[in-house]
Amino acid sequence: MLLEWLDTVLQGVLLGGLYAMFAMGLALIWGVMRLVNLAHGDFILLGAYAALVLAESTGLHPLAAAPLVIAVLALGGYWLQRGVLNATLGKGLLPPLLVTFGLSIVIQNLLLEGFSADSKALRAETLTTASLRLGESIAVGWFPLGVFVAALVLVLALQLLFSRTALGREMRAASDDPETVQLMGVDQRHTYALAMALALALMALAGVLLGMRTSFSPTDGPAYLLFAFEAVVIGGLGSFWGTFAGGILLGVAQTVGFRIDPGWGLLFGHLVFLAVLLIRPQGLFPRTR
Amino acid sequence: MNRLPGCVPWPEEFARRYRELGYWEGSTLFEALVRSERRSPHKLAVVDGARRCSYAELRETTEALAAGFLAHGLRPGDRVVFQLANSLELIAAFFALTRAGAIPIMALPAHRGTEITGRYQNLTCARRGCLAPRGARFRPADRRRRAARRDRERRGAARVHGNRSETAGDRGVKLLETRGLTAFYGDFQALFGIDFDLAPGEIVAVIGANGAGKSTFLRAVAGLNAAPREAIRFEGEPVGGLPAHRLAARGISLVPEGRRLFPSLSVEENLLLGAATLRRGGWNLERVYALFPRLGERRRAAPTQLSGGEQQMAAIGRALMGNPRLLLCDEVSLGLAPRVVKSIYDALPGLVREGLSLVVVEQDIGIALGVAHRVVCLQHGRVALAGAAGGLTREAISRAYFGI
Repeated sequence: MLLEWLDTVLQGVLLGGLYAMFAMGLALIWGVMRLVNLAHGDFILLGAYAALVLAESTGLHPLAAAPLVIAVLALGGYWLQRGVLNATLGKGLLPPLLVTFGLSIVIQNLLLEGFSADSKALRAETLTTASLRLGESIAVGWFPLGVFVAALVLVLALQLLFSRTALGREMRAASDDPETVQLMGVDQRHTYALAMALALALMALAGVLLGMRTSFSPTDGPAYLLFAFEAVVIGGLGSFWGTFAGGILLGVAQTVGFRIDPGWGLLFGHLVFLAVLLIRPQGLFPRTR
Repeated sequence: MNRLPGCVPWPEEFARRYRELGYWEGSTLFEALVRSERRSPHKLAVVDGARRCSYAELRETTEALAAGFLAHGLRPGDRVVFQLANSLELIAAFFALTRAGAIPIMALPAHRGTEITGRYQNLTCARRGCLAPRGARFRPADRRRRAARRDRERRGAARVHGNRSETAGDRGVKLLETRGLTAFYGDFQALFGIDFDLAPGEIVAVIGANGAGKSTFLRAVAGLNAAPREAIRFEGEPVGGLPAHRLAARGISLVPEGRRLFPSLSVEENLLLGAATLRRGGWNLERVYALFPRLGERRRAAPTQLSGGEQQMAAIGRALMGNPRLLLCDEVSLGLAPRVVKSIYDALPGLVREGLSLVVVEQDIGIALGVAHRVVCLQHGRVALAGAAGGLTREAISRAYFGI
């Protein structure tokens, strides 16, 4: 009995790794540009569908297709920021919300038009079914474990990028004071575009991994946006580690909910999110200064 | 909060006198504030360093302050000389005095006790029904003077056109020149044709009262305010209106008003960001720490933990890290103790010996005259006075400062 619950929590933690990956891009965009990206979930799906097209047309393994998908979306993200989103900044919270909401609708409908409403999945062969036995009744899938480790590594990398590199400094400074940072010779529009490119790279990877884990359809985006949001808010908008922790907590809550009753999984996730908002509205790891 | 029952009317004598002189525009300054508040209560009214204040907040503060003045025995019609640095308090005090029906008389931070006494003794308001020292003239005064000023401007503009070919021949002599520089905030014109020159290795102080356009001038030169391309030349090249980051890469560094350090970066990270101009030169962390030893001790601290003086040192250090040719300093003495101001200003001449040129905007005339080779006084967006720092009398500066 105890072992079964341990198993449930363990699976939840691993699912949380994927949610953390969803949430990182959102946290990055909010942190640097103070921009709430309502098309976040749809970009993730765009990554999944791009990998689908590439894998089906060339016969590549989805993971092998991932680098190209990531590169294309990152490039698209750079020019999306420079061409469209930069113009919405500095005018309050509403313009970016409206524009990304519009983008979300456009992407959903383009995906519907191109791929129909049927569920699709990325074929990853044995990679997603192999597992590691940890005992009599506990087994861990290699794939979820890999996703978890990848999320951990990416969080670490992002944290280092932000705290140790010149680009990270510029991004933090541009977030603090977009006007003054220009006086240091930094073109903040370029910095923002780089942040968006990085965020879209993360989303593309998250999309490929999502597609390998489960089936997806064009209208799933808003649900993933919600998960990402909840993870970021639970984590407290302060650091990428907070976002990671938020993703884990959300994953565990959902899995525990599913364990109690298959209809309760998502509800449990939302309840935990609401409970955190109620008890600790600043999140688990708020910004310290 | 104490609220006054209604606006205290100005003594009828003053209003009548005002009307006779033709200055009366139908309401007091405070009533104008109330109108602005009604129109747009949340619009930004005052910016003081990091502090922002909307019209509604300004009126709130003003009301409270006015009630306090009246509680302390101020009577309508009283004349009040007050001495404050350029700050939110100064503006609130000014409005509050008009609110209480008194007559505010500003003294500059640089004024000494004897000068203030002198100003006070010069006042003849009660008897003559006017609001300024003897011999003073009110500014938006007679039409003739305005017309004369317009004429001068037109002639000035013509002269600029005549000069342009000359300056092209003089290339390399001037580090910075502006000709007929204008600047706007929306419909509001802040600069009305500024002509300004700066030679390499020179320190020029720009002085002037609140709202004279000093900060706007620096912002335009640094690229934060739009400007016509030909109006600003740097190293002989037209650079007006170029984006700020490109001007920084060319060697123009602005130490902005209110320091504007990045709060989520440590002191050292702030300094390192200054090097993002990618310009080569002799500045690095060690040299900045040698110039301002306090910064070295606090390199790991967050800017919010620093004292005002240390913050200002960090802001200057950050600008120097970009290896600029031209350093623009906007009110570095603001809100700092005199000893700290001195320690900052003592560092400047050494920088100039290394080939850096400086434009310093100062409220404190004493400091400006002490450090600068030349002084330019702005008044309502125009150059009111310019000359060598040693060759200007306090009276001339006073006139240019107040326009009286």
